[in-house]
Amino acid sequence: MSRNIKIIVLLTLCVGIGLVNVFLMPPFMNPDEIQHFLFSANYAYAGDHGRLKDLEIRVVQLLKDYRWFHFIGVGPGWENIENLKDVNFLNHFTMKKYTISKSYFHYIYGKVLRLTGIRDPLIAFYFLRLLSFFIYLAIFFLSFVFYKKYFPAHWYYLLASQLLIYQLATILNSVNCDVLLTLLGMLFFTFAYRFMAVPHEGTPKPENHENSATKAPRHQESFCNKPLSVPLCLRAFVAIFLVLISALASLVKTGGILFFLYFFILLLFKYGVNRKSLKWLILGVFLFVIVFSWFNYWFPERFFKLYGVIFLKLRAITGVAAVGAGGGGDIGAVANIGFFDSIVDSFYFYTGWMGFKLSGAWYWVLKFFLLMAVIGVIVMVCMKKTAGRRWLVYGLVLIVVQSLATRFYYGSGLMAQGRYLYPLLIPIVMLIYKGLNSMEVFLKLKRNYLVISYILFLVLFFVMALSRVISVFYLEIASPHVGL
Amino acid sequence: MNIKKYGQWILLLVILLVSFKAITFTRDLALANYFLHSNKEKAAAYMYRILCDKPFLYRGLRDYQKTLVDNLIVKKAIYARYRDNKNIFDILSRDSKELTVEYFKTLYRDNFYLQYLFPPAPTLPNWKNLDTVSLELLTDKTLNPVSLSLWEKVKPTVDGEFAANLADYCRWQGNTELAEHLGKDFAMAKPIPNPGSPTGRESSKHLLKSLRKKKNLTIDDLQEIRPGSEDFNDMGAFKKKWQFFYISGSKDMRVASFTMGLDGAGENRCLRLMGFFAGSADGKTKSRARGGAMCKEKLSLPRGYYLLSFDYLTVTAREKPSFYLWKGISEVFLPPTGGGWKKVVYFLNNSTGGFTVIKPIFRMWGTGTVLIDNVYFAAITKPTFNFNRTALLYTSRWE
Repeated sequence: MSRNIKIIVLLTLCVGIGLVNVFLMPPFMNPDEIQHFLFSANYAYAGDHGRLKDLEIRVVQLLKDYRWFHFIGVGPGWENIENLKDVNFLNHFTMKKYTISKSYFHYIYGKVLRLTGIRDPLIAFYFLRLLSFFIYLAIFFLSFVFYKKYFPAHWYYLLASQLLIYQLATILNSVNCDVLLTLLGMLFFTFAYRFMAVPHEGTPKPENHENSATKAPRHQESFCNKPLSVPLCLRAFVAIFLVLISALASLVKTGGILFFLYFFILLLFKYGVNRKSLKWLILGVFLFVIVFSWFNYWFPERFFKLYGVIFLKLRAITGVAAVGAGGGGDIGAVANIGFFDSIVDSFYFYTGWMGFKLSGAWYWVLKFFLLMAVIGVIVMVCMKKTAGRRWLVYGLVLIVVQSLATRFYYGSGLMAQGRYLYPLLIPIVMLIYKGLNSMEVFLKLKRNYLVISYILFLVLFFVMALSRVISVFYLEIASPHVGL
Repeated sequence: MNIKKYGQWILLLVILLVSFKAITFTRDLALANYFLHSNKEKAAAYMYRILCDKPFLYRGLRDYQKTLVDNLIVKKAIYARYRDNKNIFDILSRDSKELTVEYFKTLYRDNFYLQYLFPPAPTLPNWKNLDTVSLELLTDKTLNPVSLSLWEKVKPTVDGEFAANLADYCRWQGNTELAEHLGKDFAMAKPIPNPGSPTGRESSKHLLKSLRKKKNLTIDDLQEIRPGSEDFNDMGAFKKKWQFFYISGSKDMRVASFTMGLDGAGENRCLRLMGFFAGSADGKTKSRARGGAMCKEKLSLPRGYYLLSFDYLTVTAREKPSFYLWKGISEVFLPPTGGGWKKVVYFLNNSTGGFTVIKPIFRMWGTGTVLIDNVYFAAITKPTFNFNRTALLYTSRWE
């Protein structure tokens, strides 16, 4: 297949999958979509109390029309619900004009909606989904650029394995903070990869390898590794950009605060292991403090809310003044294997309001591939000569950190929130690909059989997931005899 | 000189200096939130600093700690007005339209400092309804000139009991000069017993002796459950384990004025509860306002019998002290002692396991002063007696 055809096929697939997810999934059926829509509408129609009240009435009617209550599992009696405040899990939503806990995701979506002047709630909702669709396209364009640059030989494997994650396509085409957070994650890891200066997969080795290794810089393409005489501001550019992305992420979603942690871990991986680079580590921290402080100064409401969440959860974890700390802090429960199970399942497909799955066998096959990938990565990490070893370990550490953070945030309840790993899409997709690749070498396979089987399985999985969605929401088996 | 090398450091220094304000702001923002659940006074102080930079945040911050932040703003405004003749509300209201003097004057309607320093004074204030800010300012000796001049204006509307309580409060807080002036124009009630003296208070040893005599209970039959700083000698432990708690009988929480704290020094330190004013709620004939000290932590209560004992003193014969343990256990009202210490011995029957926890509250209803000391709470491991009621109370009859 020529390069252009591959691009056209993947682009068509991307647009197709996006649009199918925008229009196939009935309104408000994705996780928290109703709240995100209403918060955005709150900004769009700010100050017009009559419109907001009318919006609430119309939305309740839409929820009834599309049997939202039925699909998310609300028991009998939902036909009589008149107000959103009567819906238990929407209790935290209030039609307030001002709230300290505002997310800038809602602010942006709301302001865009305001610009369009759309007044009908259903059209407004689909407009916001389409807005997400364009961000989804941007995410895949960025992925394409990234994989193409760093994996010129097999970029299409990586892009396809990302494109075929059904749940990812669903979430990224819904009205959800995760859309912007995933976009920021994509940008963050593109720059982080650059920052860490991992050698490119397709970079040709110097001819006289032994001599050049001692004289020339190891990763010639990265400006981060140029001699120390490079001006300070240029050297700091990538670091500043990473902190900026982290700050933007924390404005978009509470979980975005973890980006700062990703940045710190990145600094440690880049500089912490080398005593000579200590001054760069200190400089990185200095830049972080400056940029972070200014963001605190400009967006104090948002950061005050974030500190609240962090301290509350830390208190719950350490057991200090747990009163009012809510969920979280259940460290012992992390050992529960069901936690990792639910994360994997919901990463690939757990649609609706985490209500519908495929049968267990599908996930077991997926987990088999993932296990192979993990073993492959461990083998690669153990081999000291592996290029980009530090990056792989960094990716693994981040996945563990993100999973544990999600676990602590939610406590011991069911944690079907694989979508919280979507900002780590680049490290995850790369780890799976690299791991399976490593296993192919280990098993002495001549071609990428494991990677190809994984992608083919994802195609099957995708088709099954799609048919499951259609059957749940659009095909109803009814008997002509009432009551049967 | 290596210009490039030093230029880099100068650049960093400039960035640091330019960002200094943002860094301190970030520190205040984080610490305000950190102390929100552990030390509300500190949290409010940091919130005040945040508001000085960004007054528009008031609307958001008040959701978290409204009263304390308001208190700080009013206190700072009073100091600024008195010392530098500045009106900080003018500055604050530039960024946040809500932070006007009128808004705070409505909130602190009965605060004579605020009302007189920012005239005009309201038409129907209740000067006896002292708020936290007034109580704090009354203890500051440097403010005595303004406190005394305002007292002259307020005096015609208050009575002797209020003046006596206020004078007593100032004496307790170390502002004796103001205390003397406050009591000058009124026939004062009898002097407050010196809490530094152990007279009348019994030690735990004495209690055990009497328990053995009356109920055949020995130290081996009791397992002490510490509700906190029970002898109130350790100020740090007290702050950690007890908190101020008050309820007024109406929707307007400023209708009553109470305070609490430790009185005396050393081993004879005791808990002091004071009520200055207790207003009646609309449509109610009797005041329901009460205030006092609440144990911060719940104490678990397995099945069995329990003993609670403490000494208490009311300054006059009008106070209404009480203690409350948990929902379902009747609040226990204690008779006033008229200046002498009395021992309370209270047996709680939880043999059916009806209560799983308790959270002791010592409080008083209405005005006056109550002192409490030697709180002792223990599980009776070997009950030597039975009773069918939920509780048995001994006060005067114990002796």
